[in-house]
Amino acid sequence: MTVAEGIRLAIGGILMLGGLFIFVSSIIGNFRFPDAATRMHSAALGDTLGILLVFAGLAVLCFSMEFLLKLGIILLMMWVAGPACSHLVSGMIAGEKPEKKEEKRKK
Amino acid sequence: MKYEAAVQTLLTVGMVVLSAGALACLVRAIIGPTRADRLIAANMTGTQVICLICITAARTGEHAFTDVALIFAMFSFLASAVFVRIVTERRKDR
Repeated sequence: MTVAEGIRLAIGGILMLGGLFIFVSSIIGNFRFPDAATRMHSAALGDTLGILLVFAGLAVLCFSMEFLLKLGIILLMMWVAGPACSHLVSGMIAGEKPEKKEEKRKK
Repeated sequence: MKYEAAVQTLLTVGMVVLSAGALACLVRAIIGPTRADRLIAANMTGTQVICLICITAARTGEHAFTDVALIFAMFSFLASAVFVRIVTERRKDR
């Protein structure tokens, strides 16, 4: 292993392990948070930052132009779709709460 | 050669962690009390499986797997959007 390969391995490994740490903390948050809205916060963390760090680590470790472009397209897709999906789910949560209150009032 | 072996080990560690995370998210989707919890957990599973597919593509050298990951991302978003639409429409009907 040359010096350049060692530096590349260190940078890629730090990015990759950081992404895995983000994913693990997002799962721990998903198990320990009390509410659906707070769980959505921890899920969005893994959806955006975790996938960015893992893909950056992959791009550094196994570099080729084709692979990098495809990873960029997937990352763009996830960054557009993830927050839009969170917005839809938050609308669903906001619609659920008054219904429950009405049921309680009827009782 | 040594560099390749180190990269393979690192990618294997990533695959193991992401597989365990996807299984944990499925457990969360089963025990989640409301529909929103289940949907969020299923979305997290989808994200982790996308990362897993991309790591598999890098580990085996088959870059065609990244196309599978792209289609998986699109269908994951479509599924959750349709689920939210069905739940909202059903609520309006009542």
